[in-house]
Amino acid sequence: MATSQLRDVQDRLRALIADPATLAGPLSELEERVAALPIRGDARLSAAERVRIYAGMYAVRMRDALVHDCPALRAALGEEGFDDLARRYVLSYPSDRPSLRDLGRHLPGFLAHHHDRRPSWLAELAQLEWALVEAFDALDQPLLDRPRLAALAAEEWPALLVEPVRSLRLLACTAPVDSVRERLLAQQPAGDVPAESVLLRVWRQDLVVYVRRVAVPEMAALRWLWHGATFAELCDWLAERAAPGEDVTPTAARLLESWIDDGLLVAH
Amino acid sequence: MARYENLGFGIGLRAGHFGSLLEHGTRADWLEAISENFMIAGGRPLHVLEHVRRDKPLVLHGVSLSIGGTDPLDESYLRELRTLADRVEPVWVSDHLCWTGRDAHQLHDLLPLPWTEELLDHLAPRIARVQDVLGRRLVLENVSSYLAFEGEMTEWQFLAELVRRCGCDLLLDVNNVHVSAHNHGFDSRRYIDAIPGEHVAQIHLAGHSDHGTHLLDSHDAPIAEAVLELYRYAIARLGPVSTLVEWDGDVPPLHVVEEEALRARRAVDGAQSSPGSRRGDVAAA
Repeated sequence: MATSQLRDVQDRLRALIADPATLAGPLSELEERVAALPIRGDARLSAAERVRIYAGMYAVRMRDALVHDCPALRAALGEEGFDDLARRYVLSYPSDRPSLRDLGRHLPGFLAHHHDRRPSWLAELAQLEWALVEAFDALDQPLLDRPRLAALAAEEWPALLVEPVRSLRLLACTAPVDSVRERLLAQQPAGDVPAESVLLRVWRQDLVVYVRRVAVPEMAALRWLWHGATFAELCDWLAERAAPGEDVTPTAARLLESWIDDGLLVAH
Repeated sequence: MARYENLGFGIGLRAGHFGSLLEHGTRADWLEAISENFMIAGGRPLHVLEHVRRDKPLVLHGVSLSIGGTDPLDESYLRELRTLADRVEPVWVSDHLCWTGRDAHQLHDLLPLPWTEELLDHLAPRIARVQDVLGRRLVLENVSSYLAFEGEMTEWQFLAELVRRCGCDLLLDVNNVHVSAHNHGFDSRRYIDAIPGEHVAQIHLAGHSDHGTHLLDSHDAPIAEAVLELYRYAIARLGPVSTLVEWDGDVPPLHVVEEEALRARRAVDGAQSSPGSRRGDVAAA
């Protein structure tokens, strides 16, 4: 079998394995499609039945990868609902990376645009679960700590670089999906989910991933700081949003200390 | 000439055991990590990997190289694998003799290949490129299969030619030999007899499941007695070889997997010598 023929065989097999019809359709139709491939069948299993084994494993593997990353979403949708979602999602977004870890990265967007009759907070729940995945294995970085802050001379403060860690994810949700997630993971029903603006930050500290609600000013400051800024620039930014004449330095220092205690800032 | 050290009896490094490993370590002689699970920027998995590496020998075992694929090799994947290998200094790096996807669509399965002369010609430059990037010999595992292509040679004949012509080495998965022999109706001992023993870096053992029409390499059960028997046969022929137990589905507590590695040790007690002993010479890359 020349490489060009091998490529054709792999193309056809890939299509068969990823096609839900390989599992759900009549065996006779599958046998017609498989007949073009140089696969050996025998009395125990025909060539088509052998292809079906791989198709079955593919469907389970994709579903299981998504269940692993989105356990609350699965609890919300139920087994049948989630399996249906996984099937449709993988058809739209088949894995294109070496690790299954990345399979679900389009799932929040897919849910947002294909929500059918499902409640809109499901997409936000998926977004939260994916933020947890991303924070879990984000880059390790040296952290700014209080001793380092204490060692700063007064004249060094303005130039201090304030930059969030790469694990930080900021989510603006229209429903309290953090508490919904906790209920679902505790095997309780989601219940009636109210419309409520909830701002969340997700980040990793000491190898543990956390979710916390934040107030509007802190969310705005973290968004503005996304690529880093000096402490002086942070004070200026706060001053632009403060009452005339208000000294924003204590506010900036308080924010800085709380972020440092949460392991949220990178040391430079 | 390089020599493969007998590392003894190891287990696969799995996320469900991270806590136990950090707290108590392991009774296993060595560990095998799935490369792709650690080709990440940071966080707990890498922390655990570096922790266990300090105490035990470690090898990297990939599942997405797709050495038999017809897409070009993924150079960024190879560079990331090299970065990981430089970071943890594995005793060796292995993957599978298979293809895993086509046209950038990853199926995340270890799919079988047709055993032909043309495939050897296709594999030779790809293996050379991988070994060049990694700076080490590539160890390739025989996969279990549920379908076979019309080919020119048997799988075992192909493996012998592969190491001769492509300069790689082998990870002999004894459970996969047993599963494929059942599914395709060949003699598993004939397969073992034909393996070029001096090129075998490692052996895999695992559990499988019986689906009536076929055996499935499910890695979710203890090693079957028939597989242990074939393993005894392989060790009697090959001599001591680093042996690892894989368990990936319904993963039990760490001590259960460790006990399975001890069960493998007891199965070849006397034939398999202690960790640290050395075995046959193989040509260095």
